[in-house]
Amino acid sequence: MGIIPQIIANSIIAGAIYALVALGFNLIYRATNFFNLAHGAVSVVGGYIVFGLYRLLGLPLWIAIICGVLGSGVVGYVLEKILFLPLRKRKSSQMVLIVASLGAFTIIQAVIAIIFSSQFQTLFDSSMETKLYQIGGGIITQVQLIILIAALLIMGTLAWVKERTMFGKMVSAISDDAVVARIVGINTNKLIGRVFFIGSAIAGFAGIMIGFDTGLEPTMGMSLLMKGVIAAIVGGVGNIYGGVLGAFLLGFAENFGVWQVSGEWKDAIAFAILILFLIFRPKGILGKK
Amino acid sequence: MWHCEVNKLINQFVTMQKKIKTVLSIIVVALVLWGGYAMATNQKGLGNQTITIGAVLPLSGDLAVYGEGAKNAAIMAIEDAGMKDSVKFIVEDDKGCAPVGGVSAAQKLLNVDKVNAIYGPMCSSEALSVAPLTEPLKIPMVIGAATSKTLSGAGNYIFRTIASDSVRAYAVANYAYAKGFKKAAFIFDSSQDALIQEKNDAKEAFMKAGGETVLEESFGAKDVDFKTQLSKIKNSGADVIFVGAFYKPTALIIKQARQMNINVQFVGTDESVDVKEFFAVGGNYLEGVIAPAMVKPDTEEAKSFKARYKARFGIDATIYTAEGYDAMALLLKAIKTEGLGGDQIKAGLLKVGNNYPGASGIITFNSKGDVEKPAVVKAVKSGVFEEVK
Repeated sequence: MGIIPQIIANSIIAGAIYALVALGFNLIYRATNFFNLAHGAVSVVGGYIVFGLYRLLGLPLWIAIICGVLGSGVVGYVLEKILFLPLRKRKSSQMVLIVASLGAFTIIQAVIAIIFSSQFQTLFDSSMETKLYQIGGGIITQVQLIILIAALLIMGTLAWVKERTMFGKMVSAISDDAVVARIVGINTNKLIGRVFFIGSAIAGFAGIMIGFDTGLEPTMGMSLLMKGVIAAIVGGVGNIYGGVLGAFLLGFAENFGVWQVSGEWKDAIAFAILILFLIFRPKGILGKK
Repeated sequence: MWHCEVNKLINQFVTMQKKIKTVLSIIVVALVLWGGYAMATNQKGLGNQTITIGAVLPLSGDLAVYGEGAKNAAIMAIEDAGMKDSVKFIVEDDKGCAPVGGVSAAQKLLNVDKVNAIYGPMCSSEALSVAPLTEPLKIPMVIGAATSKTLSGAGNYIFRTIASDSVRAYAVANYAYAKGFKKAAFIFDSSQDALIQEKNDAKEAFMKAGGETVLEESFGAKDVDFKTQLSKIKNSGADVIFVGAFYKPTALIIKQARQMNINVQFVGTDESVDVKEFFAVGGNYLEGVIAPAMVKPDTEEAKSFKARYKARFGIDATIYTAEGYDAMALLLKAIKTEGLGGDQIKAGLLKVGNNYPGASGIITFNSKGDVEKPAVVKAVKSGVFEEVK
């Protein structure tokens, strides 16, 4: 059996994880036009809510997952209401918002570490059986398959919402020009609050899935965020399809890089791609639309 | 009438203000005097040989498992020596055993706290980066971990109560070869010097025994996805895979390999042995994994240490605690016998560290500050490491 099918499978799995992070990130960027760095930590929150409810308190898995997704959504929503909204009202610059989101990231990370310790934890219970699927010569696990399907489903749903619903059109309107959107009667702050909730919930779902696939660590938010942001920039910041495309491109580049060069170069490859795009195609493959 | 009342009130207010001023000035004077007195007595205390020992340990991140144990062991050694009041023990977090964190922690301890000796750091790469700071000041480092052989030559004031990895790497590689494995692949964390050296030693031993190395793969310190390296190893036809990593990546690598239907023998390092978090990460996938370990001595000192540690902290003594306990106990004995200066501590350690019956076994420092201790091979059976022959 050749090695290439498995490496393709590995790339797709990595890409799907990055895509989940990039989707929520891009959605929030679309509505607010700022880089919400707290997104990485919000993702970790989802994983730890499930860890607390399912592994520590022994609640049924499905309840824990729903609470994890909604919980991260709420954390994102609250951040918007108590932090970003007041700053926007005060007409703070993008830079201030980014620094504030970095502050929120650090606080959330520290709180998680205080509550759950900085120990590496896994949501995966050794009593759970892992089903393996063989697809075209590559093996992937059940969790990884769920991640892949979920990433594509969420992308499809967001695209449908954007094109077909009033909500989607209003978000596009804010994205194009927030002032004009307000003039034509869109309640921008209410809408941005909802966007934060949805984007953060998607991030929380990503964190939960990563907790099942590999494991959780309070500090894992930064590398998740980095990969999500690189995927978003490469594909086109604020573009739903772009984020997913960038994520898979990144997954393939990293894994083929590890195959052909060496394992230590993985992050270097990711950031080299970022730099190349920033120089030669700053709007990303698809651009913002 | 009205005018009079108002004047009275104003007068009262003015006298009250004066009183408040007087009280405030008394308080300020008292504070200044007290501060000066405290500083003066403190100065006297320092002159009076307060022993200041600084620790550089990983207390956050996933290596906190090692750091917490080492910290507890040191505290226990200080208490056991009856020096709780005369030793100032300052613990600094090196944030994950990284050289950057280690160096800034050591700089703080050396420049601000003016420590007499450093306990730690636990990782070899980090100890190698800290040595250039401590050596010119003749500040000894006593370590119950940091197992790379390269550390032996890094300074004149470095003492380790743990044997270098070579002996364990040789033991496990020879064991694997004797069990009939002939083609080895290596996957290792290239950010840690101890793990690189251990991999090199295991490889050397395996090839000397007659085995073949089919592939070497590396990864970075923070990686959690090893599937592509494992795909290459699967394709290489290896029948045994040596994993050179701390417990978390080791468990993740084995788990991911099993999930990719890689069903060959895995060999870990002693960094995972008897670490319960190793099993929390890898679960049932870890059955059958072999790893080298330090011999747990069956002596009175070892048993008593284990029991007292459990009684004191409520948890089992984990990896590196017995070694850490011995390191701190010997350091205190050395200071008691010879004195506080760098050269005095060094002379003291060489003197007391001679056939010393420690919790981790017999300790005799050679001229490089190293010890020699035997190794065993262990295998995972129903979720615990058991010695195999």
